[in-house]
Amino acid sequence: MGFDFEYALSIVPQILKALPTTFLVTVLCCFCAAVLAFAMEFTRRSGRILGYVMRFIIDAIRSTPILAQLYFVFFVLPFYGLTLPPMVVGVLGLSVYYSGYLAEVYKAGIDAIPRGQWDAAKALHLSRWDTISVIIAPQMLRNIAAPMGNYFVSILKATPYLAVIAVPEMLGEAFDIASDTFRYAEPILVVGIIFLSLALVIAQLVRLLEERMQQSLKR
Amino acid sequence: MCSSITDKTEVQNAVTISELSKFYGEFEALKHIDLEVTQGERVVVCGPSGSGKSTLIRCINGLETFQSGGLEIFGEAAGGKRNGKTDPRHKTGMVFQNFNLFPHMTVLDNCTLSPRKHKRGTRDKLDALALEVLDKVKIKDQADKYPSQLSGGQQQRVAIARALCMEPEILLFDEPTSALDPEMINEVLDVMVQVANEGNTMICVTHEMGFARKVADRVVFMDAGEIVEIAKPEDFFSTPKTDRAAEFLSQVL
Repeated sequence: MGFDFEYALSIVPQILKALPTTFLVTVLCCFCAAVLAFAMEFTRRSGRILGYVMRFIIDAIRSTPILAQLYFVFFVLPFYGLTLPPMVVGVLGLSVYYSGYLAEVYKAGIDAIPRGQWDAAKALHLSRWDTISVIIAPQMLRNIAAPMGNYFVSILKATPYLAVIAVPEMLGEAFDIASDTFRYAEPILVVGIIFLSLALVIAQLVRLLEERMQQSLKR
Repeated sequence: MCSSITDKTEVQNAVTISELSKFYGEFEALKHIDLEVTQGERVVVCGPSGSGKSTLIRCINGLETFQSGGLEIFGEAAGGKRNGKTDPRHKTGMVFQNFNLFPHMTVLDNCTLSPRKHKRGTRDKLDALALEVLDKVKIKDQADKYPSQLSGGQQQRVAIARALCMEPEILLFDEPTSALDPEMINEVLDVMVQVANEGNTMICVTHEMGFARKVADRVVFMDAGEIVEIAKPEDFFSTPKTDRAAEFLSQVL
């Protein structure tokens, strides 16, 4: 049974039906992970005890398999009376998992900001929130645009994990087709190409954003 | 305790430091510092590097904490740590050695940021005020540029303008000319002289002895975490009372 090009084309629309879900999950997860990581990183810096607790949480998130985390929320929590829809579990799970990594990226981005910026903010009597939001965050984002973009692509590529908790995303859809027809090559290849194109688009967007940020620095 | 050298009899103390000690672990960076600075007075703090002069003025505006002793600003006690909006340290403004301008903001935004965040007025009013101050430090035409587009001397003048825009009652300078190329030092010193002549209370850590001679009411000489000598500049430069000061002067003059 050779590769059937016509068959491959014919299943594209069916797989693309799952694209909005993949897209939505990716966008939501990127947003939630970015915000969550922000909160986690600044909590880690806010005090001694809170800092240790947050460091442990971040390490724990990064040191357990994402599938274990997803299964935990999806299968274990209902046992204790908390049942969430698959989509919510998926977004929550991926967001939390990647927030652990993003927090580390933020850390590097903040550490690269000269100490004098904090001093100046303090000498101008800015509140902690103003210091973070107006002085530190913009400079941090400029420092980390590239690695942050990498993680956004990673989040996109991690959406197939959600197939295991019955979120109808693209790879799951491809597998459904494959198990109906016993042809695996075409559906998997089609999904691979779609992911590749999406990832390239995101990477290009990040590159443009990065260039613009660098330009504003040079101006 | 040293008495201030002014003609008026009832002048309020802008800064009163008593028995202030600061430790980094075991190391005593400041040893029982006593210093009073009256309102409108201009004090130059000098001394060899590592003598604690920067640490001292960083304690005054709360950039450094201290472990014992007292700090009062206009008679209000300021503890070792900062405490919110009522902290009397809000009356201070500071200029740093490395300018520490915000690189992602224009010169004008650098100047108006703090007044805006403290709701000192409408954006238009604060912009106008900032432009006035920028005019005073002769850099108004660069208001829309970013710090990285300016020379070191220009950046430091912006930093002075930024500090002035908060209308502080006490101005602190932490070696404002040490990071500058030699040909830019004078433009900054000129602005500092101008600011000094407007009657602001100033505490300057600097090695610019010419500046000290020109504007300082008193010179404070520090060494190894202690205030060794406090004198009028003419006395300090001609007849230092201690060997340590004499030695220091022989190296910088």
